[in-house]
Amino acid sequence: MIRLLLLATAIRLVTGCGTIDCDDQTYTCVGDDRPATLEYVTETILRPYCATAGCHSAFAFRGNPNTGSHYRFDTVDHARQSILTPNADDPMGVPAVDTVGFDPDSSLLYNVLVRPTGPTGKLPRMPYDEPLQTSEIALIRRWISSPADGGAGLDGLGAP
Amino acid sequence: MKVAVLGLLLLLAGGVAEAYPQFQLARDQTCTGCHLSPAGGGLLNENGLAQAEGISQFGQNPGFFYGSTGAPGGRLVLGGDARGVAGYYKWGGSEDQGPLAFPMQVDAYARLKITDAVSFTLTGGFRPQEGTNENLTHVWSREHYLTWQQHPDENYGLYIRAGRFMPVFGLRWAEHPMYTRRWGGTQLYADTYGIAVEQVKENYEFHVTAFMTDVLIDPIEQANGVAAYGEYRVNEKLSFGVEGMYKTFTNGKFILSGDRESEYRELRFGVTNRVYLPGPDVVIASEVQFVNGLVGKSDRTDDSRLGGAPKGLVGAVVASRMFGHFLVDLGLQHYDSNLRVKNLDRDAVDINIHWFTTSHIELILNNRFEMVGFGSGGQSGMWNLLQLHYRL
Repeated sequence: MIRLLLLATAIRLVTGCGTIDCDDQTYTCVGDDRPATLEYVTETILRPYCATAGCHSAFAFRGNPNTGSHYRFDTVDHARQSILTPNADDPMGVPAVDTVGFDPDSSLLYNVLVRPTGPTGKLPRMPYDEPLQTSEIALIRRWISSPADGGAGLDGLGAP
Repeated sequence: MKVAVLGLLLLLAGGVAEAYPQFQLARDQTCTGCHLSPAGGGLLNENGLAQAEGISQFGQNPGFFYGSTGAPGGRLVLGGDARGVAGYYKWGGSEDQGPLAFPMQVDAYARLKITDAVSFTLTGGFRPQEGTNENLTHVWSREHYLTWQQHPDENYGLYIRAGRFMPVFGLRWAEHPMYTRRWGGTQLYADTYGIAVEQVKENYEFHVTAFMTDVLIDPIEQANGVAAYGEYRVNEKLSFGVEGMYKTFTNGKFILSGDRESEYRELRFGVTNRVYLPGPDVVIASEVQFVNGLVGKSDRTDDSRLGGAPKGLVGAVVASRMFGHFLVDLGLQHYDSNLRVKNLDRDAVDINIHWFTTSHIELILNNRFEMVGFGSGGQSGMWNLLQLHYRL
């Protein structure tokens, strides 16, 4: 058992020491060459973390019960549709992604990830079962704020 | 708002739990020693029912509805599972915590022998409703498949299955929050249509499953692929396994369609190990997977190809021991979705205590403490859940 614990510790030490380092206050990273595109964000963050059995997969298609908006993030097409869904009635009163100003702080998607704690305000922090890591939030922030990618990457893969 | 969140949890957090891989080696050599399915889970055979009675504190007839009908060996075998859970969770700050409770599983199982060698298996029950189609999605059939079995009255031999089931991969833990399930290619409700060829022998077994995107039921994952798992039992106390799975996420397109504007391909391979230590009567089960992903259509320049090809690692080590009518699991888990990103990894310590009260009723206390980047990559969290399980 002791050997197993030592092995587990060694694995953790090796795998937790990447070269891309992110700041948990500013949500910015040093040396981050991950593509800040809708496709990459969907396939590596939104789908694995959000498109789960009870949440934003096509299977469950959950949304905001106050507004009737529903979100799916299991494919790039679905993610694009969900992000572009009008959210005028959402409590935050902002679009899922600010495709005009490229401002993460004005985007519902970004805000539900970084609100400091749980259900104090309107929508709970997401993912509700386990918060996203700092580096994943940082990539989403960079994606939303990159107009060079065609407005948060939404135009880069064609019209919805 | 907490009430709303609790409601969300009630709606969203259902689940399924099935067999106990912890029993393998300690109580029997293969999943088919206790289950009718070559992959384990679901309906029990005569030996499985005897085990359920033997480990329980207060006994009772272990058969379906206390043995009134649907017993193994007959033309129609029946069973089912119902589970509910209540507990407490906490993440990060003091306000991100609270009680939670939800129904977890209500499933009925049936296996009908069509001929001596061919049977049809059906699992039906309640499911999380689809947000935009609630009226039609209260119930469903998670599994339905035909099985051809080389030796119908034995636990060994060749099996061929076709239909809807979970691709066979790895140790197949009952607890779906296990990292090697949640992040290991077989997350909750990832069952889909496929064909499996499976050979189960006393000292080895292998399972090869080809699977495709479910075009009938809106799925969890829109992926086609193949999964393979082989396990060799060196002796009654030691086994090793190898596993591999290739998936291509199709963006909802049919398996042969070339009309894809984006694509994600994923190759995962790994090893498993089980060792039974007869002195302390402990089973230690381990699984480690390496995950090589490729986001296919991302814009990448030659000098940043690494950026679009995340390489990850997921693993778990679980030590299990029976204490009378109690089963205690201590698990360590690790998941890193991209080894090049510092402090992206998650680590969890699980302690699960099962109390087998009667042949049908089990109480389980699930406890988890989880950290991201050892506390440097995000918020830490924990939960304590008491689960009531009734096996029909």
